[in-house]
Amino acid sequence: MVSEESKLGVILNVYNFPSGKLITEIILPNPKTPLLGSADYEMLAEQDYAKSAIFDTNLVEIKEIFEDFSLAKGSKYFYSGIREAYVLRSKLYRLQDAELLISAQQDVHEREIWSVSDPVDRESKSKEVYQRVHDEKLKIWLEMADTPNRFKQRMERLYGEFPKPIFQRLMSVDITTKPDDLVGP
Amino acid sequence: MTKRVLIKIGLCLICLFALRWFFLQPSSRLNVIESSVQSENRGNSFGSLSPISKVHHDLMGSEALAENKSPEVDAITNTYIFSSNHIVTRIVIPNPEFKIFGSPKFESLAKAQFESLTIDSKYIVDTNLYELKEVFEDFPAAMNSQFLYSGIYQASIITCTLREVRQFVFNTKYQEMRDLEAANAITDAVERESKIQRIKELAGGQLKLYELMRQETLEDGRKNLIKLYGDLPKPIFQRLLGIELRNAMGRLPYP
Repeated sequence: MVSEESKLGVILNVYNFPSGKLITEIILPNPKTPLLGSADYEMLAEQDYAKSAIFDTNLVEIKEIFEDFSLAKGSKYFYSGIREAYVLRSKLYRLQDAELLISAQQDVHEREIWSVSDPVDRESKSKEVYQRVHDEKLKIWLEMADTPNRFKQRMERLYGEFPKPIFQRLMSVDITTKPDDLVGP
Repeated sequence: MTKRVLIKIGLCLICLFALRWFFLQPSSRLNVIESSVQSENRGNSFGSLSPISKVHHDLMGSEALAENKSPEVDAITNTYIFSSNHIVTRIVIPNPEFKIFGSPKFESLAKAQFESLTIDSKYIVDTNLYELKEVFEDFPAAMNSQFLYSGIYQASIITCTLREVRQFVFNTKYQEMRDLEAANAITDAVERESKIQRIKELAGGQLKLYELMRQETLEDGRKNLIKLYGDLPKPIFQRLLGIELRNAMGRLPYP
């Protein structure tokens, strides 16, 4: 997987699967979302924290960790970092769910294969289904590996550096809620 | 560790199956369930496992024997009392090596296990094991103690158990989704609504139990680490929890 993010927030992911399949994914940022590292983003991130911490108290834990990170605490973008960590932990949780869902749907895949009556066609269907499932899993694994790296890059952009102990601590915080989009008026 | 976790899971599942049977079957089955799930004064609220009002929890490890209700089986009894007066009893039988947790023997077994998975391994090494060790290296109490590898082993148990609990949570939600799909196909409106309510209550009860298991795992693990080092700063504990091993470290070779 090759993944790049431009300064304008456009993400380009290129997945090159062992099956020979090549998927290019271009993720355009919401035009209403301010750029990370702007005063507008920080303002919206602070508002979002005040609103979301009521429902997901683990956000308070994230804030506590950022308070121990002197570069973040002394910067103008304190809440921007918290927001990024919130998105990171939520996204990883959803990716884990997606991975578990594929495994849980084993019977659905089996039914799809056995719906084909002709044995030769069924064999071909079986290969097709397993390849598809494998590719789906691979895409999730690649995204799971890329997401923390992208987060660290964004933290370095915000604060200049991002210590490993702070990152490790953030990875212990469970976030099961899905953050709302950060959009301006 | 695997055996201990499997025993834990098995006993927990017995309780949950009992609950499931209790919720989804006619009331004539209630008497059978009472042998495994003790219920008192249930009144009319059979299906509601409302928030926990009280939790009795004996610690995992050697301390457990002191409060154990069945000392002859070395078991730890966790009793959950829900406010609907349902009591769920979970019996945990620790792996035998935990009888010597905190001893030089345990440390040497844990160290040998760590080395067999890292420097002596014939297979791809999970580099997160080194990450765990790095965290302990930032923790003077652990480095100055004689129990560095016991701590690494304990930390690996916590994160692997948490991952298993995470899997149970997912399975419960997935099963609930499928049961609700099936229940929605019931034509009789009264029966359908009743079934849907029972499915939701059961899933809710299971999720609460898993949340308790998660909290217990964290608390037991934290206490075991404090037992080793006398102290455990929150940042160190958080860092340990943030490192997820691909596989458990495996059982220590203790009879």
